[in-house]
Amino acid sequence: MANPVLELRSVTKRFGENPAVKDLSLIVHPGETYGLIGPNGSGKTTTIKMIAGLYRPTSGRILVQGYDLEESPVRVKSYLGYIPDDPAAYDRLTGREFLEFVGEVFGMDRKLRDGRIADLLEGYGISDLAEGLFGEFSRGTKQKIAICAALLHDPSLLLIDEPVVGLDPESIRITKQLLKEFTDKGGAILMSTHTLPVAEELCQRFGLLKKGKVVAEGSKRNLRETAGLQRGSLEELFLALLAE
Amino acid sequence: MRGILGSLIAYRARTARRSLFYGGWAKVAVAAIFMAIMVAVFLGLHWFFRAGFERIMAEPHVGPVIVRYLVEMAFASALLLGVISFFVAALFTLFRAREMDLLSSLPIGPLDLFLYRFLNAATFSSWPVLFVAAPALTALGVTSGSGYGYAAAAVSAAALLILIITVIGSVLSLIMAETLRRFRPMVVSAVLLALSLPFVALLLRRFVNREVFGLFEVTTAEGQVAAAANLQTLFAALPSHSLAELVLMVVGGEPERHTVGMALLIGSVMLVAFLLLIVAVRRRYTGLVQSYRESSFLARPEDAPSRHAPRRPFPRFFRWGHGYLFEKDLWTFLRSPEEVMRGAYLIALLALYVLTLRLLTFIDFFGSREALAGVIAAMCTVIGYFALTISMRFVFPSLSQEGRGAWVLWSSPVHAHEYFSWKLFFWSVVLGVTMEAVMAASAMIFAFPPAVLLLMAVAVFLSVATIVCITLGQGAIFPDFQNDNPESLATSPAGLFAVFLGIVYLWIMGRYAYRYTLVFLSSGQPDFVALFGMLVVSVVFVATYWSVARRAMERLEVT
Repeated sequence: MANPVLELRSVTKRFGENPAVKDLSLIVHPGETYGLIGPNGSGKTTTIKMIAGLYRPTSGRILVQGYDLEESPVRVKSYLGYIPDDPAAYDRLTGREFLEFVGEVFGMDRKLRDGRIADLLEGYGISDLAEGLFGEFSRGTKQKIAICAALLHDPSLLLIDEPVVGLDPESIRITKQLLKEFTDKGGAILMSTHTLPVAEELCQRFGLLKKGKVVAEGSKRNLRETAGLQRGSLEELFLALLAE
Repeated sequence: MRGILGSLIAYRARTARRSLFYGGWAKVAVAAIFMAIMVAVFLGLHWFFRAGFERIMAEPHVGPVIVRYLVEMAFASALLLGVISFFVAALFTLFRAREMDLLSSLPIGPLDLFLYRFLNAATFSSWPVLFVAAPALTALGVTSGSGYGYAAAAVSAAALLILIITVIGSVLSLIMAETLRRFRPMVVSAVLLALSLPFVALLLRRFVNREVFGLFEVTTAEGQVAAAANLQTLFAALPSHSLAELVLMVVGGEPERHTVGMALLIGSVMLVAFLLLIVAVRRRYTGLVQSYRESSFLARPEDAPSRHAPRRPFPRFFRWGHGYLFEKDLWTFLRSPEEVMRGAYLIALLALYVLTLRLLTFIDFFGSREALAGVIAAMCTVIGYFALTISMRFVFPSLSQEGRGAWVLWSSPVHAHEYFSWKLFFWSVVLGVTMEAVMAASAMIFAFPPAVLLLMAVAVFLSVATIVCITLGQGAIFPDFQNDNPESLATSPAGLFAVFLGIVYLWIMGRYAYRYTLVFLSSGQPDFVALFGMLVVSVVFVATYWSVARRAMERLEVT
């Protein structure tokens, strides 16, 4: 099997005395979409923020493409695309300017950047809308721009905190298509979501978090075995595993 | 029954009280420090005016003429500053306040709504009365030994001045809101600038010139009467003149004089206030509040209409290195009316400072080397203080103001120290150029010799770079991504500590500037030891903040 794109080794994060994530280890391979699921406050967003470099782990190691985030933060971040749960950015830049800014941050060639922006915006059908100020956009449009920003520099690992919140059905379809194309080309995705049908459709493996710890991990079949169920949707497995 | 307006004010007061006392000891301490600073400033100004009045009043004939001029100027300056302040505050408290969305949807009449927001703007803009007119009035009362009659006249004059400021400010802001609704902000700004320049030139020609100061060369009683009459003519066109007259009448023991003028003033203010409230407010205010979304200048970003596509991709100007980081801040600034207005206000204060210097050239107070050295050192310190004020408003909060969008940079492959260095570089250049221009204007006004010019250029350059590093560094060490209010950030404990450090640094620099000038005036040679001292102190501050802030940024968590 190819080397993992993402590897978490015994990662713990405490806020004061409160542990948000406890001794978490997981691996995501190229071409794979890994879904972090769990109730509110289970540590999903904290985990993603640690990998994105927004939080520092209290202990443990985070490796992306074999590079340690603590030792080589800039190199690691150059492999990442991040879509936060709250896609707030710079209200006084236009959507297109924001994407161009992100391209600059990632040191993209300007010609390549502009072509890629045009393609991504066209994909969502928001080329004209993107000329408005970011602060004017609806939650859904902000989310689409954030997805475009994360995909812009062709990252190896996509970190997504709630991929489809605020999107209309057509945009959800386009987003799922974009994410599938991304993994088909060898990219890896770590996704945190409460929208279980989307996770069920996109993810090959899942990690069920509860109070900062992984209580079940693996494919849907593995989760079924852990839950002792013959069949059932991801939602039913989720509820059964959390009830234990 | 206290009515809707009373309820709104009571709610506001309760919210303010809650936010203060539930904010913990730090917030109460900061508020207490601010109160203490304000009292100290008031007392300091009172003492300054009092010492001045005592000395001036001892001069036969010319004394009363200068007192008249100072009182007229105190009222006129407070009026001008107050109107500008109200105008800036009103556009955003009257039209753009967030709570207007909620209030507009409630069954509250336009008059109550306007008065509620109007009181808010009036409170913000009453500071020149408190810190310019009031210290002068109390000092004059104490110096002239006036009694209760004077106190009553002074309080009435101050209250009327506030009323005049708010009425003129309201009329101007309503006109501006209407204008901005109809014309493009760029056109309005250009017209405003084109009108304001001749207006300022006219003010200068009329009130600050050699002829006016020639009025103070009075040696006889007849000359005193003639000079007083000339001054009355000079200030007669200003609404503040009657207020100054009221105070001076009581001091001079002539209360029966000028009653017609006072009656006319009060009558006209009341008439304008009535017209403002009944005609403008009843008919236009609610409409303007509702339609502010139509104007991109008045609108908040989420309410503004779309703009045309930029012709050139981002970054349009700073296309090298990490220039895009600065350009992002630049566009954010230029597209934010509040920021532009506040920036313009600070520039206006700088212009006022230069104007004050021009005024000083008419007074021969460079009697000794020590006095001249003191003035030059004070000029360096004041320019540095301006840099500190602007930095606290724009540089210190700049990192925290990444706000909910901080994830963009912190999850991207930009070294924290690069981010810090580029911000430091760009802000130092912007502020450095501005402050060096002010310094050059000051030096030209006084026609300082090249050696003094060298000192001032070096002092300003070092001060600006160091002040920017201190404020940016302090903002990086104590960021607050949850708070996007620059005023509240600047007055946080971390912000106040940056101000304290900045003042300590500027005081040291001022001491070196004084020493340098004194040595130069005595020996005719520049004091390179003083320049070296300035350099060392600046390097120590910059190096300390550079290393601590960079480390803090690398360990920063974006919560």
